[in-house]
Amino acid sequence: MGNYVANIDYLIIFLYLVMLVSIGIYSYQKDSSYEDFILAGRGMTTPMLISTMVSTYYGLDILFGSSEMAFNDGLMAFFGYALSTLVFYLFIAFYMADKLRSANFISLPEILEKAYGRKTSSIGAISSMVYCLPTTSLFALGRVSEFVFGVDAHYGAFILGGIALAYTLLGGLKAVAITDTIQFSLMCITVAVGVPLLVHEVGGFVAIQENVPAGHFKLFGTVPPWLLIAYASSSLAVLIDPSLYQRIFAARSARQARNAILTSTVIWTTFDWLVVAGGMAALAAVTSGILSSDVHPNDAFLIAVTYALPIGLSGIFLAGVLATAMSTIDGYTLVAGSNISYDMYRPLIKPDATDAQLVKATKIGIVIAWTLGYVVAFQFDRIMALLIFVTTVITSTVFVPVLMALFYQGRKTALAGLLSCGAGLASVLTFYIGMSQIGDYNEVWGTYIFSFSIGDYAFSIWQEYALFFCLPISLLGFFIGNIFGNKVEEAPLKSEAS
Amino acid sequence: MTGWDIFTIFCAIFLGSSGFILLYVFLRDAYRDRVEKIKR
Repeated sequence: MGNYVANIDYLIIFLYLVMLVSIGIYSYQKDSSYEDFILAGRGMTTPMLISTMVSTYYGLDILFGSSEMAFNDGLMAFFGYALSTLVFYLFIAFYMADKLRSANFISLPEILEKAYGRKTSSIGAISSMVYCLPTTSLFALGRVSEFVFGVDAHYGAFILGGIALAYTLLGGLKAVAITDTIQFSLMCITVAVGVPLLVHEVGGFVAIQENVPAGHFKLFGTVPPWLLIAYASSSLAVLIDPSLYQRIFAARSARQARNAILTSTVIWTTFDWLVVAGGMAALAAVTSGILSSDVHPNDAFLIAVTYALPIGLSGIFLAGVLATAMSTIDGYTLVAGSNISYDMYRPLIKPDATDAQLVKATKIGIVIAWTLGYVVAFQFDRIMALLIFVTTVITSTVFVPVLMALFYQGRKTALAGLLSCGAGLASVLTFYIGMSQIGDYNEVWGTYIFSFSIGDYAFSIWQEYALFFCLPISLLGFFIGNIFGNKVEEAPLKSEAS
Repeated sequence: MTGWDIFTIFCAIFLGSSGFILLYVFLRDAYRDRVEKIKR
């Protein structure tokens, strides 16, 4: 990697990091209220919303994950995986943004608190916090540091992740939104320049078609159909993504939130395609001998684009790659911190907490969330497995109760929320533990598969199928709780009182 | 040049210009806010 990066590139990366810390110091407000700190005073404009939505959602896990999938499976990465997520974003823009912004919520668990009471919101807060831990981004940041700077992944993640932690603590969502805007521009411009140059370098799509397997140009690839549906189902998590909700709550109006999501969706689509095209071009570069054959699929995109870019632009691209990780770390850590303070500390320990105490508790929560994310990040060999697990946990736990709270007009009981959340969470844990006991680990797919046959028919259940079982269980829990429970008494929320 | 090449170039132009435009609008708004604050 060092062969493709010059001193001027390192200087650009250094200047970029100095700028991030400076923005944190500039955004620091000594006596900010809780809403100022966590929602930037609900005053975010459309450009800021777009930048912070796109850059927060688009982390290194997706950048490397999509390009790796394109490297291994081709067009399926775009048509089978990325597009399903975009459909759900359109649903949020047209059917959810208005409901969420108009209700003046502060966090996702607060929706559960209003509909089902505090016990359900506490379970929702825990699963939201686990989902928002910056585990995958810190892991990926460590890996990039190893490649770019040649430093140990643990140190790289600690220093670069520490910079993201510092400006988040100093300026809250305001600092996160300002840095996200700059990071978003860096990401867009560098990928927009780097990928076409790489495609041109390998000889365009004619050469790519000649140098990759024919299956790479099948729209849905050669992946088993049920696994494809499982991948698409994991995209359901965007409908209850706590970080996206926070951006919607922070918008000046519901209209601005909707416009920002619609624009972001188009940007995500173009970004996804360029990453997929880059992954396929990287494979063509390897098979045609332009790049070394021992390149790992995970790193192929990064190495290939850096190879294609001239000196100076490589530095900006690598700063853009770091920006991709840091914008995700800051956004999700902020939400996890607010889950600890606003959704756990306030209702369970100090219901009459003042704004100053909440801001202080949130900053402590941010440090706790970052530290937990850092510790967990290096405990797993396969980070994608962890990503799918936390996505399954939050979807199985809060998907049904949150959507019912927003769309179901009938009677809702506290027991319905509790059973839906609890049964969903318990079923995920049971499924994962069960699969690791009775399933066989498949080295090719990197997952547990349980195979059995009934009569002449053979069946295989993959660990990735968890949602097919856990979501119906959560829905069943909701209806059983609704039959036997009592209607919840609606208490005024802090956001309503203020 | 295939349809995939054209689609790639189209996406690159759209994404690159989005990055420039949003950065420009953000900096312009930030400058206006700052001028207003100083006036007040």
